[in-house]
Amino acid sequence: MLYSKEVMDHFTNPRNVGKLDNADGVGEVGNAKCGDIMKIYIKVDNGIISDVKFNTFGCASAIATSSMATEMIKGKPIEEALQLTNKAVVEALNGLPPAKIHCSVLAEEAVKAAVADYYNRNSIEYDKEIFGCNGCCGSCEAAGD
Amino acid sequence: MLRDIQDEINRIKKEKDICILAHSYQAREILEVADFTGDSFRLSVMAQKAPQKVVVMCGVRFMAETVKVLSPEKTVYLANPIAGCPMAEQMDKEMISMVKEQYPGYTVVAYINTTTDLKTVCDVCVTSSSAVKIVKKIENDKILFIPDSNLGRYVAEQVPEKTFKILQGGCPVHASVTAKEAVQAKEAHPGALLLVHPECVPEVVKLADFVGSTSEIMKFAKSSDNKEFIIGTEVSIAEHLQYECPDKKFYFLSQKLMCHNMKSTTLIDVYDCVSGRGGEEIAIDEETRLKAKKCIDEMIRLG
Repeated sequence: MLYSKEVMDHFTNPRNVGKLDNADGVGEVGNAKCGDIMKIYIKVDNGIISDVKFNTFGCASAIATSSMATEMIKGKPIEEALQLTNKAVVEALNGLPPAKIHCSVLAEEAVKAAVADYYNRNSIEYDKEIFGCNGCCGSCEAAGD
Repeated sequence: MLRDIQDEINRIKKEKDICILAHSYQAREILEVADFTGDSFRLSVMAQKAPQKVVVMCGVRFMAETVKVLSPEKTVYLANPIAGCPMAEQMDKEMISMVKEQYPGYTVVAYINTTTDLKTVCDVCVTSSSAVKIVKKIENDKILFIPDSNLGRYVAEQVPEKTFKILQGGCPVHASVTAKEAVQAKEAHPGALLLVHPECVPEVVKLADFVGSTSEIMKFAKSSDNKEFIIGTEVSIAEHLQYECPDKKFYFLSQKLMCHNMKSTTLIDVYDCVSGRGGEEIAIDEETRLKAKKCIDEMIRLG
């Protein structure tokens, strides 16, 4: 079977879809040029991610990984959300077709971007190195202008 | 310089008996050398009727494929082979076959912006202008709509008597516009009507004075007595309308409404293609073509 039961479930019934009007952090990655746009909103209370929503327009794997990533960080301390890796998301989804693994990177980047936004809004010092991406979708070029 | 290249393209296409199709999102200089312009389905119908045996599509890949599905006897080229459609490629045949197993008894309605391969597992195609009409006419009350969730939600609102399962795909260009931008554009141009494509997110569609396909937006703007319009679809439409209606004013809803894929085809690509030095000939195996055609035939039957 090309797609796991978990991928099918999170694609056809994605969790936490939508937006948070009073989000404490918003992460947007990808762009129209590369074909996927992913936006993750987080609400933070006492250092805990109390609510999270996402809006992704992309392929089925990008949607399933966004959905799973939001489930994995909900209710977790913000530092723990930063530890989320695309590998962990793919494992939780019981695998992705090899050609689709790169889509999972977007979810990890979106979570990190939302946390970075939260840190910036609250003037919290952080190590910018941990937010480095591998440049796989080339969106950095577009974001630079 | 541009005129010289256009003259040369016109000379070669006459000599080789080639029909050039250009989607409305193409640049003005490409539209000027085209035999037919418009939306993707209109272009594929015009290609069927055209006497030429060779057709060059200036648009994106699924559009060239649709031409080939309807006109298998013709040689069809995509002027620039890198021009794809991210939305058309978001869902694959394997995935939708598995989704169908989860939703037995649903009619799978595919936006025409899908690959030929994906159409082979779908039941009916729709365009953005025919979607509501066709979905209403489908005998089944259960609709699985792919791949554009925004268009799907718009159709579902117009056809409340049916049950919809909508998957989370969409056009990353249209979906990038926010309601905040729409409000700002309306405030900046209080006398202008906001014309929006249903591929935009529902919050933007709600703010629109008119919702329609690209062709419907153009028709509305040209025939309206109003003098100012904010155009909520690909930026080239505002430019083309401004060119055609110099006495009216057209504004972009957002600069983000730029489709890089549509803009990847240049006049030189068209020149190279008609000269036999560029482009890609579209090949579809007969079994795939016939299965995908069923989906388009059903659209024509219900449309």
